[in-house]
Amino acid sequence: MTPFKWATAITAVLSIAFIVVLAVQNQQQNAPNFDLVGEVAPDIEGVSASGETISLDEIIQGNRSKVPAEQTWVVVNFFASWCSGCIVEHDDLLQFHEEGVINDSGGVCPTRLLGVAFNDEKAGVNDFFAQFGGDWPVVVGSETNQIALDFSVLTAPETYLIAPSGLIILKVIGPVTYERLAESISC
Amino acid sequence: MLKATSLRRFSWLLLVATFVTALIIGSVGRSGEQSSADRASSLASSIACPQCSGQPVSESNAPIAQVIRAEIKNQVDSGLTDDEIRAFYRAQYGDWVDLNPGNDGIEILVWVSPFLIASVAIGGMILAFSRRKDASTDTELSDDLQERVQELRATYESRQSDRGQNE
Repeated sequence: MTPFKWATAITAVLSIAFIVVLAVQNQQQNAPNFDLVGEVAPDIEGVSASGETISLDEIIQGNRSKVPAEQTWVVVNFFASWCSGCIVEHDDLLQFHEEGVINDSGGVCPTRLLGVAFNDEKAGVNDFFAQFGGDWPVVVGSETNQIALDFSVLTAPETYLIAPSGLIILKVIGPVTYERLAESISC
Repeated sequence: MLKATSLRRFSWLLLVATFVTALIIGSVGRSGEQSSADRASSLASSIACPQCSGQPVSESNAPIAQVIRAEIKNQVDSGLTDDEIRAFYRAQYGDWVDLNPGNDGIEILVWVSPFLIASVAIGGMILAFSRRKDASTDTELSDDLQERVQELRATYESRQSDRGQNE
């Protein structure tokens, strides 16, 4: 083969390799990230729509001085007033907030429900709760973007169950049910 | 008048000079300081919306894309580097959200291939042209040979004119 033909052949092979790499690299997966399950939950620091200061870390640290039966389980619910799935799950969250979870001996497991507004404003959150009921704290404001990204949220609703140790033990994409939360909590 | 080889060399030189000038102008044009908004916009156009089909967050109206766009601006303003910001989104949603190919593993081919392809193509062309030149008769003659050619040409022409007179 002449050098020209060699060059043409090598160039063709390299070009094909180049196209193949471009075609296969970083293919879109669109899969939710469950890597956080089993890991320590990112901290949540913010102010609720009613002006209450919220700190997940404070709740977890508070658990260290308590016996296991008195330690608090935290449910973090990312929601938005524009989200239809959030309306679907709202009754279950209301039940969880009002009844809590009953253990085998008939006692109530200490739980705390925290909402985080996802791409939503304080006014939208207040309207939503005025319409559908509930009075658990919902973090609002610019910090919510960082919180949602720290939890790898894709869209609302998404719910995380955090054990008293601070580890995430459950991630639910889409509407969550009372039963799903209750069966994952033990005290 | 320029000889053929000098002209050819000048053409190659001109080609190389044009190539180098274009490279310099291209790199100088890109090295200017970017504003925060430009950086945020550039990052937003190279980070995929995790909920969409191949769209960068800059082109998507999905809620998560809006969240990421807003947060990229905060991250830029808070002094994070582009690499740190990209690393954050890769860690949260997977490597695929970074639309810029990486510079390790097989992805390095994306950066190296164009140079390899260009080098091989140009090298092959130079080699092919030089061989063609060697094989051709378009070569410079030494003074002795030029003198000999002129002698032969003169002899040929005188013979031709003698033949013409005889006829």
